[in-house]
Amino acid sequence: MIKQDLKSLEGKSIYIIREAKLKFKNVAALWSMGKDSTTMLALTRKAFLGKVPFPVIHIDNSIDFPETYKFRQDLAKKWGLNLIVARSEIKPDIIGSACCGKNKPETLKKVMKEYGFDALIVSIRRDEHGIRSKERYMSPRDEKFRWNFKDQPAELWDDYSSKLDEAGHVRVHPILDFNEIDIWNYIKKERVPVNPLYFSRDGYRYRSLGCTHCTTPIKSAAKNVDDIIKELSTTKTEERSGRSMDKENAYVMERLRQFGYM
Amino acid sequence: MKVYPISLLGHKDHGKSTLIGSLLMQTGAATQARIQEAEQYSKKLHKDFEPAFILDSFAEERTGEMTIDTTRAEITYKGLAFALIDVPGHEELIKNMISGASYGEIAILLVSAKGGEGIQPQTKRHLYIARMLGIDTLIVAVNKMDLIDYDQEKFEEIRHDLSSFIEKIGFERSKVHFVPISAYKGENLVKTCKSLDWYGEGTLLDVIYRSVKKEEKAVGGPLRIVAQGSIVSAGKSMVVGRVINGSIKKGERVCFLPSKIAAVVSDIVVNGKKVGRAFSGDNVALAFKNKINGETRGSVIYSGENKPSLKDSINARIFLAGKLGKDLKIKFNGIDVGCKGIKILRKIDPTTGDSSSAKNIKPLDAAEAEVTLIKNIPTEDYNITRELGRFVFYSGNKFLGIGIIER
Amino acid sequence: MSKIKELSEALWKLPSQKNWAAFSKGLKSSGLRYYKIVFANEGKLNRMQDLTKSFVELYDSKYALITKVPLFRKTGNKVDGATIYLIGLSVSNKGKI
Repeated sequence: MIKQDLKSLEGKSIYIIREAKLKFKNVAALWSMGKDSTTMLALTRKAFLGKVPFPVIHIDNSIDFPETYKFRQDLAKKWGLNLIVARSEIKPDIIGSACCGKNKPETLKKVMKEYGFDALIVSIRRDEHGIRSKERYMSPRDEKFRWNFKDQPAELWDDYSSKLDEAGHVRVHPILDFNEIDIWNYIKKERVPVNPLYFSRDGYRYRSLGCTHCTTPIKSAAKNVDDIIKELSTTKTEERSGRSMDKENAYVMERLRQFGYM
Repeated sequence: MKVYPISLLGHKDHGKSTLIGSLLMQTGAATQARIQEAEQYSKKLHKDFEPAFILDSFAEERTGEMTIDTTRAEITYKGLAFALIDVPGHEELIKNMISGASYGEIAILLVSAKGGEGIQPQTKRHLYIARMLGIDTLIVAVNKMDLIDYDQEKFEEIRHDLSSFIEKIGFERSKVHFVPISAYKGENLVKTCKSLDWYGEGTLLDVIYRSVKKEEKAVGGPLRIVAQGSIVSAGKSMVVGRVINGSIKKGERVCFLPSKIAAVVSDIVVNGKKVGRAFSGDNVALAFKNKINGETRGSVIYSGENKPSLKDSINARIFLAGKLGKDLKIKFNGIDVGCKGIKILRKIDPTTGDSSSAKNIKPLDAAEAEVTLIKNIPTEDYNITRELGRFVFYSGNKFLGIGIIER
Repeated sequence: MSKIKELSEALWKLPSQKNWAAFSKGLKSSGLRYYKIVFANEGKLNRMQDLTKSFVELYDSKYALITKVPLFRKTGNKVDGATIYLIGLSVSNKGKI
């Protein structure tokens, strides 16, 4: 895993977050209380001098880890977040996933419509999954959240996408260039608060967090941020190996993306 | 670690995804999971192991054997990190190519040495656009050497044929390197290969390594900041943007264009910290002693006498990917500016570099043109300040092409 | 310990918001430290209603099983998850995989 220069990653992210806020009328961010979206909020606070100037949305299927709920409660208070909690149902979706999968985008669609958001900040990273390496910093979605990967707008010279039509919105990906290890190095450098589930307990830790139903921990003795950084420098397994949804096959992720899964 | 972006250009069948796949495997950057996944898909499609599958994650790419979109793969070599950006070569996807190529200043051009696959018009067009986009170092990887028995003469023939065109469209001879490889067999990429021992300049990664020079941050030069807009922090308004040239100091008197408002800097914040001075590349938030009225998005901040010129008619070299249509506009530093007309002065054929006096151009043509806008914008020659000398054409919501401003 | 067992019993009778809130309040002084979720039907969770077949095991600081509680909350006929009421506890990974 390549360690990149944190200062330039930080600068680029700050630029894109500011761009999202200043280019669009009504921006929101998704916050899952995981390390990536929490890092995104830390970067947002840097971009806006200590504030998160837009609402953050948690799509909650009501069976997240208690640690995750605690983390949500504490950080929302500490950082003065304007938190929108939207309940998603547990039901089978097109690929048979019941807890997260396509059900979360269904809920998100409702929230986006209700509040009239025209841009949504999502904390995906290019190195997470093959398909995510196809993403742009700003990526328009139509009314039904579909992602037309074959006809993506050009993104050159800091000219980023606009909305396709009135009903659609633009996904903004400010931490697209971060690798997993960059996230942890940034968390260390900036002392970003993290969900305790990432640290080893009973010989296991969670490397990528979903809800209690679809997440399994990995064997690990990493008890703090430094340990995790050390562990990642030698690992050969994929970050999302503990996420049951991704294992099915590569096409599942592609289909989910087209259906609007973040 | 700084990651050097490298664009990968070339025709669709010349093996770009295979090259990246092999490099990822040989440098140890591909995880076991990805290699296994690629093995499975190779089997499923009744093929020998195809390294390209490590990279391609779209079902349609695998069956269509063509890369659809810009993809990035990172590798390390001798302590340096390179991000290889795979740029689709298919003609209809040329606008995606533009998108990919804009990220790097070094490019690898992949050409096939196999008979009949040599150098095609699309490949030449890619090169022309790459040069226009500011790529000045070119590494030509001559692929499929295994299929021509590692023939040195044929390699030299390709070098000779391509060199004259490459130099005609503006590359310097000293910044163009030719390397023989086999992406499929993984030869002369990371390790040298016996059959190519007549080639004395090392492996592809050696050549890339030598071409990457430590870029020193330009501190000197006149101040240029492109403003993204204004934000309010603790009741105080601040202008945010990126320093693209020079530096800015607390207490300095600066000026906004096009508004011509002058202002004295009272505070500078970079990445959340107050600083006395900010440099090229920094994303800044600036507070001023006086109030900055009006829209700041798209403005340019400068200081002293050296300033961009305000123009509503610009001379530019343009490249069109689509057909000129209604609602013509340019996107320039975050703002849309309506376009009254485009007058073609000279047409340029990007597959040869030749120009003619034709007044009409088609998609995939280049031209020298005069672009008339509905209002003044602060511009500079592309070769002096890139950010103020380049723009993107749109017709409504449709991407149309690019332009660089040349005097 | 007996107090929290009583509160758990109440939840098995009726996992209402009121009973969950009381349980959550009682957790702090209960001595419970860890939780482990056991999903019913070999982990198949197909719809909201399936939550009623799953449960949560609660342990003390020495990993001794003290009591079990439902995974769901009932509001009228509506069912949803109740893990938010377990705030303060830590996940037990003992015996995982």
